[in-house]
Amino acid sequence: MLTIRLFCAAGMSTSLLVRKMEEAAAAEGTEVDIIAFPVGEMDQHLDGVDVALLGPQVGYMKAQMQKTAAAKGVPCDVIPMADYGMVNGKNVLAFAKKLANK
Amino acid sequence: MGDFIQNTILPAFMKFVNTRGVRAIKDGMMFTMPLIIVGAVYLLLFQLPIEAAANFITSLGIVPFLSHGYTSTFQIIAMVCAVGVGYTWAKNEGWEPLSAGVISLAVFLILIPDYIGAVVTTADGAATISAVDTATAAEAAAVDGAMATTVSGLNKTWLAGQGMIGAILAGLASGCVYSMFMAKDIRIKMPEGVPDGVAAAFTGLIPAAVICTGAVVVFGICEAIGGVTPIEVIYRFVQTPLQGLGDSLVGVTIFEALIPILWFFGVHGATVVGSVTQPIGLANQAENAEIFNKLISQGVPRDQAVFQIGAEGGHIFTEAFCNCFQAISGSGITLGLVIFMTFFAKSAQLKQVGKLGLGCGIFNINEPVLFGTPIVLNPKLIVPFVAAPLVSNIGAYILTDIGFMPYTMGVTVPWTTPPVLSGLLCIGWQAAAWQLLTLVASFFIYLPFARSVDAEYLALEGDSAAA
Repeated sequence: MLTIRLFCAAGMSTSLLVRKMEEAAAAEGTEVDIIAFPVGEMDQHLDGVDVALLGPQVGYMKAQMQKTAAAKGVPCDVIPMADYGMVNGKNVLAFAKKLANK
Repeated sequence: MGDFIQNTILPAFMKFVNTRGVRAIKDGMMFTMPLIIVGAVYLLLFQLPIEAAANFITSLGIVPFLSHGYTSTFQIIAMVCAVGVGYTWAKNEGWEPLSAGVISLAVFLILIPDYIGAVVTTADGAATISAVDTATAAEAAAVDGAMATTVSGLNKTWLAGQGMIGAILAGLASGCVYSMFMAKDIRIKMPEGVPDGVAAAFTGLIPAAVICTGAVVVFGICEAIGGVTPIEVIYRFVQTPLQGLGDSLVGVTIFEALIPILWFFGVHGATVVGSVTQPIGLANQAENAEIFNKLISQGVPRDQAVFQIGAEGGHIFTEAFCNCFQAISGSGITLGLVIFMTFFAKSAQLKQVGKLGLGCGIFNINEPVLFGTPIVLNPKLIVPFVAAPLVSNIGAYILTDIGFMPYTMGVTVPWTTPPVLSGLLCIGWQAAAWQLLTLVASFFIYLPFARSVDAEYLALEGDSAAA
């Protein structure tokens, strides 16, 4: 089971990506638990999480958010812009898996 | 150039946006949203634009109740703002936040007058109630042989629009000092074995004593030296100049151009610019609502009152104005681009992005378009991306200024409300028509630029298919 949390400005635009990632995971038979939240609430949604991903529009908060995530031992990085824009669930899922295994 | 902005200017800018104060303001003000929207619904109900419907509501006899509901929700947003900002500051610092919010509320109430007027008894014994501000009360009392007695009460003048900046300052100061006390561990500690709930009750005691006393001292100094309350000083010297920023075409143009320019660099422009413009927009909106309500109670018909708000000191630039014209179909008003991509583009990439963007575009969300097209860091689309929202906002500003479009009168909707519907609900058919026109225009604004991007992608796709 891979627990992924996505964070963007309001948690709205990212919810489309969540659906696509769930579809991609189902297609390759990976069990996932993915939810999107506003980045401001990140500290409350890190317990038991394998990987935290940031939307590129809040990429400017990367350093600060990585610190927050690191405090709970959660790897955190910014989703590549093109994959985010094209809502490429498969690529983002692969990105999350790679981060989580680090 | 791009590197310089990305590595030097943006980080400095982001440092400001992510300071504790700005974050506290941005998130703290969110607590007022439910009250504003609920209050606006009451306002709308007892000021229905259709006469038959308005008469029906009046005949039910519920207007006083709706009005009471409105003043107790919408018209207390400054108070809520004080709580929210203080609460958020302490929460972001990791301390028990409600105490900080409660202290902020007390500080805000200390800053505003503790009387609602004065009963002035003249020499011949006639009594009149007048004066809601200190200066007028003093003036009235100065009349020969007159006696003035202040009437104490919660002065509603300052609880919404006019008290907004004072409330934010109260929240910031309380949140900041409270967090400092917590960080230095200056608090009353309970011996072990005392239940947590009891101990928590004493946590805020020392900071509350210090912060509230500080506010009382400030109140005393203002009263003793200038015969005014601190909120009047803040309103005159801080809030009024700030509101002036939004009250000019130049100010609005700068705000609206900054949003797409920040997005071009991949930064969520609306969030960043909003941290500055939202306090102004909310204060302006509450003031417009007060003016509108006053005009209506003076017997001005609704359809005239909405145009007279400006002449009575109201504002064009409000929260509702932003929600209606700033980012309809998403930042940069990308609906025109999305329609081109979905129905006219030949390259596979643009077609795909268009399909993804259409559904969320209706609800003013366009991240797939911004990052998928992409618009971010793409110099080929920056011109229409900045131009389209400027056309929308400058046009709406001028249309309001010349008296074609009504002023916003307090009603607002969540920013995800589809355009045309949002204009109709917040302002009227004039705004809905302008939104529709802007959306159509956006197609033609993006068209030449989008065509060239499409041709370029098509050539690239052809190359890779042939290879």
